[in-house]
Amino acid sequence: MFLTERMMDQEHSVGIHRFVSAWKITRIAAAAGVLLMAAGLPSGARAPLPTPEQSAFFEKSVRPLLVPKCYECHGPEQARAGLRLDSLESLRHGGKSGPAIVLGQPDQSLLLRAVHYDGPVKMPPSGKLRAEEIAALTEWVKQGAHWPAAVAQPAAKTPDMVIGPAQRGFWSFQPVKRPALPRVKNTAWCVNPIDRFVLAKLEARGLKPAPAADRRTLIRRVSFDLIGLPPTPAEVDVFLSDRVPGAWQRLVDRLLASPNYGERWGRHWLDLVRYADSNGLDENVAMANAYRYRDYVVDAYNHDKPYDQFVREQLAGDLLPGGSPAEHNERLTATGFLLLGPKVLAEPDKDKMVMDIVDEQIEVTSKAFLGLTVACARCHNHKFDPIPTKDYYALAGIFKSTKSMATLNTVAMWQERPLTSKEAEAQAVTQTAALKRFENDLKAARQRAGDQALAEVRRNGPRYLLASVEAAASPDVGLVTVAGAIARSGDPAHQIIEAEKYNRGNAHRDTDSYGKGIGIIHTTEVPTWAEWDVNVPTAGLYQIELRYASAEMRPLQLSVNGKVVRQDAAGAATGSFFVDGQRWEAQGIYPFAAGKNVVRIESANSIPHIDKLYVGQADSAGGKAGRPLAVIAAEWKVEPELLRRSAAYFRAHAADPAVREVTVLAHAETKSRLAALEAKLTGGDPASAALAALISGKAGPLALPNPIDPVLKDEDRASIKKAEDALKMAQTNGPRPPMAMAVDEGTVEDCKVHIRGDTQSLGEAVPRHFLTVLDGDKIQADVKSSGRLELANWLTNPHNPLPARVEVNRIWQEHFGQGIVRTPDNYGLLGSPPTNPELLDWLASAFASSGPDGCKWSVKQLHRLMLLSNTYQMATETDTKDEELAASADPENLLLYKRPRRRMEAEPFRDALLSVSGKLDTTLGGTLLTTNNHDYVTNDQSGNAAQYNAPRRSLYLPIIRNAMFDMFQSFDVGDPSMVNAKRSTTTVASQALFVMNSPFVISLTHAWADRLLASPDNNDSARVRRAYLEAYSRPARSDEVTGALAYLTDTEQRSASAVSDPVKRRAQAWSSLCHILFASNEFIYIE
Amino acid sequence: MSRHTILPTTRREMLQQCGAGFGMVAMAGLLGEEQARASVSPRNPLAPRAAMFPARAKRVIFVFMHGGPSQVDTFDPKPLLTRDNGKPLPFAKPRVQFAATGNLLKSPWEFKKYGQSGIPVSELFPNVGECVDDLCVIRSLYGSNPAHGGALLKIHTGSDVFVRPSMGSWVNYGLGSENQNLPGFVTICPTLGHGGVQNWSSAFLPAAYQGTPIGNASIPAERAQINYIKNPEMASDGQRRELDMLREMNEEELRHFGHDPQLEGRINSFELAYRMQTIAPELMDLSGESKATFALYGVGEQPTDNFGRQCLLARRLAERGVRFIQVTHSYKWDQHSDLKNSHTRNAHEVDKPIAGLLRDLKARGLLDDTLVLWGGEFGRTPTAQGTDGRDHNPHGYSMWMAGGGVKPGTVYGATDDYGYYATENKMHVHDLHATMLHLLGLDHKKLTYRYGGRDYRLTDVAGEVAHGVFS
Repeated sequence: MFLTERMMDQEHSVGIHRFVSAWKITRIAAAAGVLLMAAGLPSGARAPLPTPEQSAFFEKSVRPLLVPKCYECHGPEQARAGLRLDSLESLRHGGKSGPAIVLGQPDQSLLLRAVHYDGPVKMPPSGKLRAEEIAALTEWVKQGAHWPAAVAQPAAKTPDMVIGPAQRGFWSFQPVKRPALPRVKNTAWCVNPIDRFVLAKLEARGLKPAPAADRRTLIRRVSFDLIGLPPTPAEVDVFLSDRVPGAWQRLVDRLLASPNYGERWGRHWLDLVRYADSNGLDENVAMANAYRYRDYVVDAYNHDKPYDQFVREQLAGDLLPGGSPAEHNERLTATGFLLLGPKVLAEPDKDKMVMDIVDEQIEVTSKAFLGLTVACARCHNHKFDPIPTKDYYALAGIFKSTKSMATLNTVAMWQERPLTSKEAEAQAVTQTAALKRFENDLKAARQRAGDQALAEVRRNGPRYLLASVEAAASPDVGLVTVAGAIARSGDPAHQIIEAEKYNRGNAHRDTDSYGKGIGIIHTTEVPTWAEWDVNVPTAGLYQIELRYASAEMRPLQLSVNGKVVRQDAAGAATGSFFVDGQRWEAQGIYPFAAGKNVVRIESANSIPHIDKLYVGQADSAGGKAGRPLAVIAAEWKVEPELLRRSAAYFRAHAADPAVREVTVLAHAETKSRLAALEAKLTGGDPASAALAALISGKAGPLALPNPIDPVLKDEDRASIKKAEDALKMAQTNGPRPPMAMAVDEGTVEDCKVHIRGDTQSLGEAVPRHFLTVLDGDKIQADVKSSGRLELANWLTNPHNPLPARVEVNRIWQEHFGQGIVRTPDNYGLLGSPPTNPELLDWLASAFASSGPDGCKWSVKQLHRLMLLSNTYQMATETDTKDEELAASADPENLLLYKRPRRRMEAEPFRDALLSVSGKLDTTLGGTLLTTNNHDYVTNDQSGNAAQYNAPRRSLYLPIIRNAMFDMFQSFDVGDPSMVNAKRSTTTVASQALFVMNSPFVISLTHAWADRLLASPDNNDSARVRRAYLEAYSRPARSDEVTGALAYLTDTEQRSASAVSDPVKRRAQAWSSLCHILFASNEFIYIE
Repeated sequence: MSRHTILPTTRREMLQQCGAGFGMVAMAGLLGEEQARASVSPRNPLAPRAAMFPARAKRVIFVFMHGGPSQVDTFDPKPLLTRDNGKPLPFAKPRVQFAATGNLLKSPWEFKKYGQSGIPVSELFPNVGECVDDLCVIRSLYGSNPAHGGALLKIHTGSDVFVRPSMGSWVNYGLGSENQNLPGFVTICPTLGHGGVQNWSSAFLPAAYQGTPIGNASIPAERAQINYIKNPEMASDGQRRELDMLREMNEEELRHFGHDPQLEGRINSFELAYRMQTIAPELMDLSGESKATFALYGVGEQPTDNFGRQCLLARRLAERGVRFIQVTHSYKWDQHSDLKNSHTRNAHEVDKPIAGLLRDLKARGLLDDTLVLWGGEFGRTPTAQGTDGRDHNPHGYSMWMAGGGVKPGTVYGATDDYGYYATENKMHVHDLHATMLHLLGLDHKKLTYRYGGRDYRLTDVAGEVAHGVFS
């Protein structure tokens, strides 16, 4: 379990990060005093060679300074401010601030200024160098900064890895040979070549195969195996009574023809290719189109798509020539294979992000199709297998030349492509035209409104200016909150109203989390609105304030008695959405009528978290100087919101001569202030130009805000809204082509070796090719395309020994519990060698060939070969003598002397519960995910939106990476972010808790009990027998019937006092019995 | 008490032993060495295992501050930052930053020296400050990822790129659990975002090592529960009868087939589940705790009630021998703006409960062998974002350890003059993991698991034990 001695000091590479490489490089550099340089001096720029004395001086006094003090930030790991100090070239070239040194000119060298600490840049930051160290650097630059050429090494080369006969001789890289059938003694037992290979190994150890299982066991076994569902009692009857030879083959063929076959075997494939409906890792957003890939896989199995074609489509479906539109869609969808992996979508380092995605694609491709851990070679040559780093980057070039991401900006988005059809294309053209029209309409409406607003300002400019003078002194401008100081309980002139006590509205009342202890309102549906009836004692001017919390600006519309008074009320950010972010903000002063008034807030989006309202008599209501803005605006017949802005400008620019001039004029005791101002505006002198600029200046008080919304007139606002709604409607309801996660060709280029996996230390570029050990280096990718198609063709060439071996082994593993190679995703040195190499090769050659027994890549044909063997039909128990013999000869049952007993995986178990209880919905395909594409699936605010109670087959339940369905998690489904070539089978208490207590299982016990009680059987013994047939595909023994009946009676009697209704008592007892049958070992283990 | 007593001698032992007995231990004996591999064996994978060398700590409580608290405002005072407030950072910012920041921003909080050690702690944490003589403050943590998701995965699993087992899973894989009736790795109100379940999943380790969540960050601690721990319909006597009948049927089948460890293991898993569900209500019910304990953790008062409950539950789990316990203060510490108000609010919510946990563990003698670890996924920049905020900073930040063999009342490592980069005794996240495992008696280089043809470790190919933090 722990590391063996052999392994202790070996390093591996998967998951190595920039940190590791940087860590190593600095250590190596510091310890050995050797520079690892990404580039040497170009020969043309070579400085004169230093004398031995100069070299010695550099090595003694300069290098020992640079390495420890500078290279951590300005070396191979990082080049802060673009500057590296590890070669003369980079010193002379410098960074963002220019050259670091000027040869022979210490006083002009930025490096020396920095070490002197006498400029803005002080280096090194850890502390000023000692005087003698500064002197050494100065001297060095003064002498011409000689840098010994001997240490300026060429580009760090990846050491070449030897791939010779020894490496190629490893069993898995050898060509597949078709072995001759071995001799066996018991030829009668062998119905096909598989049996011969298995029996030969057994006989060599003196072992015998277990007897054949009985027919009931066989039909249950093969049903779960091929379709993942239990056989119905009727299906069992048909098989038992079919005494014509070939009954077994007919059963196998019936199951292979069932659409449920693709659902069962598609799921195995999805394990391998880390299928999920959400991204996982950091940003867990929905991959709402992933299900199309799932449907593609199910369909491929059901239609027995040849395996080589299946592989080609997934790697390069978009590049395959020809085909109908339906085939085109299918092939595009298949390439979702490359995109399903988890990605760090908020990665700030884009170089790293790209290479991490490429790495994940190499990992899944190499494990799934080759059973090799190629991704280990990202940072160094593979430690165990003949996979050089160059091979890794040859493959990386292929995936880097493929477009996998639509955007890299946070939150990044993977590539999707429209699926086509003639109708969809025609619709798309119409739709684009319609959208364009609506967009133009909206643009025109906004333009019109803006023009009108501008014309109004120009026309009424003088009125605005004069009004602004008074408004600048209004309490509305720079209004201060008084609620906390003035409001007293029960004072109708200064009332505080709890927001959550609104009279009408749809705002969400929250007293629990954001509103804990105070009660607030916020948004659960949009538009959000709320209205309060406010009774005031006398008519007059009242100040409105809101107490709210918001971490962002969420302006809303405020109305009094049906009239909108502000468009941007409560628009400040207060720092947080929580109670501690709550604060009062004054909104304005408005006229109220005596008695009932209605205050309303509304927003098309989310509102701030509002705690309270204050409505109080404005103290300044009487005096002219302090009149509220609304009154002044009405008197001057100007738009209040624009006046508010203009007044604020006047207040802030009181000293501006033009503003002063307007102010003086406004206070003049003349009746024709307006006429006087108009006259001045047309004066034609510089002063009048300054005045005119107040009206039309782009930065003046009457400049229209952008966006213009706050100052729009109601009728303009309405027409813009109408145009917006029309556009939105067209966007939402218009036909949109279905999208699939699918790759495209990107910028085609070879990839450079990333030294130690570091995106910042690049070595030589490697031409795109495939694995050298499998002669993949002899084929190079087309210069004009990514090379995925060539990769796919290479992978499916029958001369490539691994793909067929890997796939037949996986299918064997699902049928027999263990693979012939027990490490289905590792055919390298650390993998397990095949337990029966001849059998593996015979199967691999049969799978890929078209000769006798040849499958021509047909997976269904391969199933037939395996299932029709006697090996498949053995019982799980053999006689005691053989068992004793096997205990020493083959304790792990590697040679298959008997059939291993297997626990159902999560999906067949859940599906069997649904099926037996009669609740299973057998609809094929589609998605159960309710989250929109790219929306967050899980977060702390809303919990997990995915639902798992649908009575559909488990295959269709959402696979949410960061919040995996707990039942899947505890029943070993495996992490959907990783290649799962083989599931583990653990037995943990959480599985038992799910079976015992989950409402889902309990509801199915009720459903099953109801069905049994409603069955035509006329007594409980018959019902018990029916239950056993349904659950276990076998009749109950008489002692079992007796035991079950006794349990039912006892259970009913015990609940007599608690449950008075006898019908209910009986139903409960039956549910309990059903629960026991569901929970039993016999239900979940397959013999 | 008599020398010959067979009764548990401490409350802790009693809590650990209660309900144990039938099942798992016996199971282990039935199996040969061949089947002893945890990856394939149905035998109890959580059976206690010996450490590789003498352990200083038996369990870990990780008090996690999601969002990234600011080091220069909590445990790493920087006089030069105060002096140069408003000036530009005199050296370069990292190549990759999460967002652009401006000039230096001094801490709005004063620091005060506490305890005999005189270690300064900001006024945000007065109660934790009082416990400073028990802390080893590490000021030189650094990581590699400046985004929340990557950094959360890094601190929890050691990898910000791949799905890997969480550190709690590794610890349970290495040591098993002291309590056979509870999971060995429990996470109280964990986050659902930023990696969510990946942060407590067992990845390729067997499922038995995955963290068991109690509630999640969107549920108040008061309502948090273990999944499916209670039957919604049936009383316990009815359920017991059902399980008895089930066992009879299963054992009848077993008699028919003869010995099969898989089948036996599953029979026992139902018994364990039943015991777990019997114990859980008592475990989760805080009402038996004294008023003094409530006051210590701030349970029943605001704003500490929620986090106080989480910390108190952590102590109860530690007492019962749960190997790795995580307490998460939900995603609140991300102050790109409103630093002053929000850091104050956050600290008010956690300061008293954390100090309460430390004092309570100490009083019960649990601090000696419990390693308490405090911190976030990264720290924050000493430079300002806006006028009152700080950006993410994985290049130098503070965490602290207490108990479990760490040197109390000490400071380890340092950042530069402004608190941007770790400079002295730098401790990478991998080093932190290596150090934690060392305290538990596990060599991080030998704690490996083979998956996909390779041996994996929590520390990947890196990690150095920081011997300087050991007492």
